[in-house]
Amino acid sequence: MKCDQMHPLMIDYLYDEISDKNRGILESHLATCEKCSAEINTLKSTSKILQKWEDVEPDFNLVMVSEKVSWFNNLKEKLNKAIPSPKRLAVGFAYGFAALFLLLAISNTEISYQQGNFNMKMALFSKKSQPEQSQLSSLQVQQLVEKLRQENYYLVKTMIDQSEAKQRAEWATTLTQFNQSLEQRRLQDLNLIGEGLVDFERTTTNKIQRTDNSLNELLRYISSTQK
Amino acid sequence: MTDLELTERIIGGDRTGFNVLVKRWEKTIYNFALRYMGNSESARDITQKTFIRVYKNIHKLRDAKRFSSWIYQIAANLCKDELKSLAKRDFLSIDLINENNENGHLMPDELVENSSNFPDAAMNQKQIGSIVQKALQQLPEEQRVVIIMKEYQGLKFKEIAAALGEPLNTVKSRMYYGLNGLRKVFEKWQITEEVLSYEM
Repeated sequence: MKCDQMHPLMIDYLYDEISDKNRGILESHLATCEKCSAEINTLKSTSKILQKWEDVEPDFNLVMVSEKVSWFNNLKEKLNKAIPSPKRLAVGFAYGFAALFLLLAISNTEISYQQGNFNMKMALFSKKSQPEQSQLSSLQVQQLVEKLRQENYYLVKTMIDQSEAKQRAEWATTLTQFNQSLEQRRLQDLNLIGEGLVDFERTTTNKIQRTDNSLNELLRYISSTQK
Repeated sequence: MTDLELTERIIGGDRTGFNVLVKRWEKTIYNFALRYMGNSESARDITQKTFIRVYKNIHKLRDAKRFSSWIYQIAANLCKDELKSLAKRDFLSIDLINENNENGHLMPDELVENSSNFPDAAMNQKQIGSIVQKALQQLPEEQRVVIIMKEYQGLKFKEIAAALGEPLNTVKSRMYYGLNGLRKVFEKWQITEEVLSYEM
């Protein structure tokens, strides 16, 4: 083996990391190569010089401590964990306010029927007002309820009719669009078929022409040979 | 508790043993950084940063047996980055001084002092450290770090390769050329084992 190939083995040997097989190879080489023998000795010597430099004690003491957190930052952290994300918080607040408004509005709503008119007052905050002295008879109450029922019925019917009309219109639009799309596809397909037929015709005509030319040549040849 | 057991506990989430780990590794990492950087201030800085990084990232270490290679990898990377940062700040490096010297090897002051004032005096540990440190600084960084890891940290070549992310043969090659480079420096400065012997 060449001396260059011994270098990694020398290093392994120097630091006692050499395998038995490689030790055998190296020792065989060293027995016949003075240069490598001298080299390994100088490497050993260099290593010994390096070993003269001993470790020193660090002039400090490291201690890993947790960061001291101020009470404010501590509270902030706890709040961050307890409070949900801003988006959910905003939605929550919105629902809360809406519920509050509804509650106030309902609790301060006055419904009255006076002189043939149906009145309804809503307020967020109640006012101190003198109690009304209107009293409704049972007949009037029944009429009021009947009127409300009819109004409800007409309201719901109108909503249904409007919804149906909207649906019909949407269906009509969808069907029209679908029909148009089908028509486009049909025309595209027809065009493709047309192009295909033209192409086929051209190809066939060319083939027939070539066959015709070949036959004519053959006939000419036959007639010329017969002469 | 062994290092392996300690590391496994810390990886598992028990951070109370971390200070014990620091105490065990502090001197090792400090000396590694000192030999790499060549001065104690940088070595102190690197040591602190190494443990901070270990603390922050130890949960990512899957195998506690790799702790040794891993911590050296962190320390070596920090040293490398710090040297790059120092170079950018236009510090006058040993290499620049050496440009003015024959063969680029600057005779250490400790040798000049010692030979002129006390020709036969033995060297103390501080002087030896200073000379060897300056000799190491003559080497390219990639050879220096391999020599430090092998000679002083006692790592196997496979562990060095893992820590540096280099192939095994590259590591051995750098070791070989590094030792040869140091041999030339020591010859130039007439440093032998006998010269460096000191009084206990």
